[in-house]
Amino acid sequence: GGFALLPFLWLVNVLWFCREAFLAPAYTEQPQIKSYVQRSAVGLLFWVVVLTTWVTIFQTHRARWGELGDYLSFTIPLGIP
Amino acid sequence: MNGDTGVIHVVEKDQDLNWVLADGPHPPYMVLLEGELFTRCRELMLRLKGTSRVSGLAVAISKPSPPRGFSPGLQCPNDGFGTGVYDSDYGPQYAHCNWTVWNPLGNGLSYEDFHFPIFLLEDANETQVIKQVQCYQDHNLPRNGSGPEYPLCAMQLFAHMHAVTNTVTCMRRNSIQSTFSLSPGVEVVCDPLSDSNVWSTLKPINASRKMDPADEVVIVATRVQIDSHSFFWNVAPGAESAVSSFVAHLAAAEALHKVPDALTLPRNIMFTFFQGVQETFDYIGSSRMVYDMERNKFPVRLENIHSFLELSQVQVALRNSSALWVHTDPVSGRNESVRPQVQVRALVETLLNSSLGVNVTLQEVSQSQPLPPSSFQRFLRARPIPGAVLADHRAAFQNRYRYYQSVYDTAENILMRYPEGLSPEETLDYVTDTAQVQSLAEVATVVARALYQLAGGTGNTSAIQADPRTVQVSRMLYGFLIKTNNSWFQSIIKQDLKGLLGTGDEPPQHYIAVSYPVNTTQLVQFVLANLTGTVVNFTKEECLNPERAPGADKEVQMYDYTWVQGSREPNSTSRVPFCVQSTVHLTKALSPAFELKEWGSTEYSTWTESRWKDIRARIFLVASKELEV
Repeated sequence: GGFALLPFLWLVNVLWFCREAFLAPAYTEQPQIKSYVQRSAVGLLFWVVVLTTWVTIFQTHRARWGELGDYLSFTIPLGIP
Repeated sequence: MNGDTGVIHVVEKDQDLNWVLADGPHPPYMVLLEGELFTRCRELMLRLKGTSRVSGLAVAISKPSPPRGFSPGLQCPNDGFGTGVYDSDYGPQYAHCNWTVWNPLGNGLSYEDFHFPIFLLEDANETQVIKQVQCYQDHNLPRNGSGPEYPLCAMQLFAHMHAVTNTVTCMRRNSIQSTFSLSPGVEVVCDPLSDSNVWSTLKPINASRKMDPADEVVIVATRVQIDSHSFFWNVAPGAESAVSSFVAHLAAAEALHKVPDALTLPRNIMFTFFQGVQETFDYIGSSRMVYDMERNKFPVRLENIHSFLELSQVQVALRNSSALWVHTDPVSGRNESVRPQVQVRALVETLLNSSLGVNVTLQEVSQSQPLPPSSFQRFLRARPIPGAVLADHRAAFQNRYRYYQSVYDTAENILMRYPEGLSPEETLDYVTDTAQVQSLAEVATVVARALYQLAGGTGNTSAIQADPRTVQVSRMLYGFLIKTNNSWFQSIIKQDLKGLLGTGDEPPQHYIAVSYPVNTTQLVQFVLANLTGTVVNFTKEECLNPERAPGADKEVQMYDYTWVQGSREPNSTSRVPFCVQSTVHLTKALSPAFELKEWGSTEYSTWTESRWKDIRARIFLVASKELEV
């Protein structure tokens, strides 16, 4: 799953296995789970940063980009530039 | 999408505006403006445009029409992007109205971009409802020195437009949405303005083949043809601007068809009624016709054109003097090596001679004055053709044209009045106030005589009289300006187009639209067919399929056959339909820029109209700011 770099998969990883990795009493496989959860969290953070930046730029600059903005849009809002 | 809402404030004088712009405690405001302020003061409109405290505007039309005149058009009509003939290469001193300002009253309001809806209140009762009845007077006026308090009377205007920015953007979005979207056609946001041009020839020609290069044609055009433009959507009566000249043109066409040697004249005459021309949007109709001629998609080619005569605003009787002015192009007139120079002189001479014996005097304007905005300019742009424009103004439109392109350009404007108590039939046939009807008929006579001579006719022109008892002109003016749903119009249209005439008593609007063709275009087509065509004895099937008619030969290709519903039999509701044979044709008038997909073209008109869903308005009481979502 991780090879596909899926942000939501990583989100689920972090949330679901958080308790197992950090709060449950220790057992042999726990360090491995902990490392997976940590790496998922890092990946998730990376995705959050990238997506937030892109969405902000796109929403604020789409009108100014003219033709490029229209080609990048799936649906173009009516009545506003 | 959700409309624009604002607290109503009535602005009747300039001081009231300060409340809206600065003092009022409950912005945004919906301004109810007196018509007089709207017409008098362009700065007021610009101040409203510049503020964010205004969310909409409702204008109460002022009756009677403002005496000083009002025109929301440009001071220099049709000057954009050099779509006229005068630009930096051709007569630069005449470009951009450097020599003559044609519409000095124009304040250009129609071409401003307002970010809020503007509605017109035509009915004085509606205005009263807003002002008095339980609305403004009761709730919104300041009382006892303090400001008004909630609940306040508010108005919401819905006029959401789907297209934005400019034509290039909205056409691009149209094409993206239609190629990539799941439901193409739903997301179209704007449409190009289009309609049809109506044209007809004196001698029938085969419309599917091209004319022989040796044949020559004299074109007479009414530029201010069937469409008009005012600040408000679909309120464009265009009486003085548009209707007078094409009525004169129709009368001249009728007169010429009655001339005995019409079919043996050396040159043909083409009666053209342009659409979307000039006042409106950068010569849509004429640029399309020239484009078709250049690309051989039209039976007549530019080389076939011998000369060009255009009728501009010709309502002469309103003026103190019954004079028509002949405008010619100074650049081609001066150029000695080019053919037009001699022929322009000859053309002007012919025109001046045709006015002898008629009560209209023709005079030539100074030869250094440029052509007024006219569709002839588009033809000149393509090829130097000798031509002239007849207009009733010498230089600027001036008092003559006080209501150019505005809502006030109505029948009252051209003084059409009927005595009280006439039935609709009698009103139709009543020959109104003789002066302007007579003058229109005389203008038509002058034009008919001039065309006859230009086409090479050698007979006696004084026998050519357009509409001697001015019956047709009266009827046409009545039908086009006052009541379209009259018995004459009903009898000359096709049966399935009955809806064309509308149902009520409202005067017809001549607004250019995107559907094709618009009512007035078809009406002119039928009137022209009725006045210039002949009735033939075909049955309905033969009329609709003329190739199968008995005795028909290849001649039927030269004509257009229409099965019209005819007039009503006396004392019965059924009609007697018949078949009319005429040479009237319709061609599409869509700007070449859209055919070529050059949406940013500076050569052709690129006007489009946005789509919308709902246009409505409502007034209601607002309880408090907190409850407004």
